Amino acid sequence: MVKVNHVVKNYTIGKLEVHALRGVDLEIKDGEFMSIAGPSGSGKTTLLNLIGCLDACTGGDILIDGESIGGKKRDERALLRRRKIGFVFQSFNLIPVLTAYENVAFALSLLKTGPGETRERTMKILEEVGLTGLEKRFPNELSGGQQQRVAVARALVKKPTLVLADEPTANLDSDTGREILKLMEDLNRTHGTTFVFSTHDPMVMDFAHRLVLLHDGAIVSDKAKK
Amino acid sequence: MGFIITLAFKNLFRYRRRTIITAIAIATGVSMYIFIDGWLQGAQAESVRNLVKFETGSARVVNTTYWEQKDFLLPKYDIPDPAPAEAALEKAGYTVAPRVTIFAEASKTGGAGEAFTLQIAGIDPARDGKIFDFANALTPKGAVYLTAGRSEIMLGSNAADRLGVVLDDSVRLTTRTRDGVWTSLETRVVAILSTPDPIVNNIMGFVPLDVLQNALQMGNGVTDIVIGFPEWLDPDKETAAINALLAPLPGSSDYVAKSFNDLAPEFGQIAQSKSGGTKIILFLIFIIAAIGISNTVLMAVYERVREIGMMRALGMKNGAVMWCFIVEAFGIGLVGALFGVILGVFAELYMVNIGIDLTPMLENMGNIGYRILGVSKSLWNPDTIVTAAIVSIIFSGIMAILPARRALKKEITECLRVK
Ligand SMILES: Nc1ncnc2c1ncn2[C@@H]1O[C@H](COP(=O)(O)OP(=O)(O)OP(=O)(O)O)[C@@H](O)[C@H]1O
Ligand SMILES: [Mg+2]
Repeated sequence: MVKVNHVVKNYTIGKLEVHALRGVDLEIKDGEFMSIAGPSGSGKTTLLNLIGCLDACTGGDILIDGESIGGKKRDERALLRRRKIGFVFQSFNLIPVLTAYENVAFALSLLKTGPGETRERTMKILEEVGLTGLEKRFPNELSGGQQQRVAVARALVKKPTLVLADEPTANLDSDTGREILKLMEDLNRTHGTTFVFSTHDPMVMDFAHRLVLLHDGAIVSDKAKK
Repeated sequence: MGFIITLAFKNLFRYRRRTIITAIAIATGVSMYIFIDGWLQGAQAESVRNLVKFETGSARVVNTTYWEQKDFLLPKYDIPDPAPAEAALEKAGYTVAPRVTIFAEASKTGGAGEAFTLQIAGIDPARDGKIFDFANALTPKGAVYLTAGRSEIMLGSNAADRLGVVLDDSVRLTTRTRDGVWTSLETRVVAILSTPDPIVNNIMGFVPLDVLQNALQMGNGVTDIVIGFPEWLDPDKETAAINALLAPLPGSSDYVAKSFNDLAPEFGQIAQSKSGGTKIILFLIFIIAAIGISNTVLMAVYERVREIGMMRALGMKNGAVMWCFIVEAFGIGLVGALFGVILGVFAELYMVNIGIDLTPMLENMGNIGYRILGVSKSLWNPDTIVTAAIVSIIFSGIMAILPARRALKKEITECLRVK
């Protein structure tokens, strides 16, 4: 479970202060399939980065599984992300010199999983995302949709508490985007993993079971849909 | 760590061209260093050999005062009766050859040419050749070695040129006797010496020992007892042993043994400044390698900012990311060192076995400190090869730290935003 307690995030550009988040309160329950939506500049990426321990809040606090992430040191935050958080990026961010299989196994190598278990878990998740037979392909030998499937597999292979996806479909055409969302929804159901994804695409919002609307750094609506 | 090594290896392979270019820069440096060091060591060894075989012998016993005033080579400070010392040395297994070495004014007899000061050594034709190698340096055709009792001279080639004398010409030597009276000696040129030792070629002449002793009224007195021992023996230790050996002899407090290191001190200094030269080369090579490596890593870092951001986001610690780049640089260093060693060893293989003929160059340069003429060869230098390889690999890794740190200074969120 993730608790966001009155989080404020300011950026300073020279003398200018940008209020990216102006006091956000949010509770994300385990197993949710939730979208954070809002226009460009509304603070979606900022919020996901804070929940994902990639950045520090200016004010307020975030708790993951009851643990405050505010006071953590750099390497402690790295360990927390390594164990509990999966990331799916808009631009896939696969390592170009590694095969699909190796890109997924990378997440497990950080957890120092043994070779047998690594192989088993990696093959299983690649099958679940529908990439059986393509394990040995390099990212540039895969379509955008297939690359994002590898990224989803990489996020899920370590069995995280939470998967954060910042505009995961923005670099894909709408059919492929829909397939990726369908895949994430399936995985959410079968694995019970919490998914939080941001978007400004209404089609994507439709998939969400809960929709949080951000506007100008504040939550303006929070609706359960399914 | 296994993953980091795999990733580094794959990245090296992916950016093949860049890897190869940087590795070539390192290989060039490593091989150049190996080559130059081997060559200098070879020249040094050859130089020592020539110094010993043509100029100094392995060591000498000389009168203490003669040694103190060695700039004047005065025959009055002699060893009046060398026989007991010679006997003791020969008994201990050393080769010995007595000599009288002095300065004399030399000029072509009957010629209008100038007179030059030469170093004249009276040598025992029967024994001197057991230590020195002049028998192989006689020119031109028809030249012969000295014969005892005859008023003959063998002249260094450049000295002969300056005097304007050729084979069978007469040379007049003017000098002072043991007691300081001017005297002169007419000699006939029986050989021109063309040796690898520029000092011999430039300023030396050799006459039979008995003829010189006679002219200088020295009786059996000699100024030097030249000693020969194998080149693998430590000259200073051996000289100390010789001094100990001579100590019990009567009158031994008047003379002292000196190794070739003492006899040609400028030689050691030159060797030192040459090794200073290799250090400068080493330094330059490192600068080149350093710039090459850090530039390559810097390019890699800039290209992979987003990749670095992703790896950090997924929970890779900064230290591990740093290692990715260090290992990659190690890899480039390894390839460079490997090729450098192969190249250096091949170049050295040629230089050790065949060498380069430097005669034309060195003849025009006069005394450059090295006693070499003719073919210059290298000496195998396994220490240098291993050091150059290890240092270049480790150094390459170290050079990656700075550029890698630049990537880690950036916030993860910024790394991920880079398009
Ligand atoms: N590193 C930064 N430095 C300064 N200002 C920033 C920085 N990151 C974000 N901002 C500002 O914070 C606000 C929120 O940005 P954020 O990227 O979270 O929006 P977003 O909802 O993700 O927008 P988009 O849909 O365009 O991705 C914007 O005004 C943006 O300009
Ligand atoms: Mg955004």
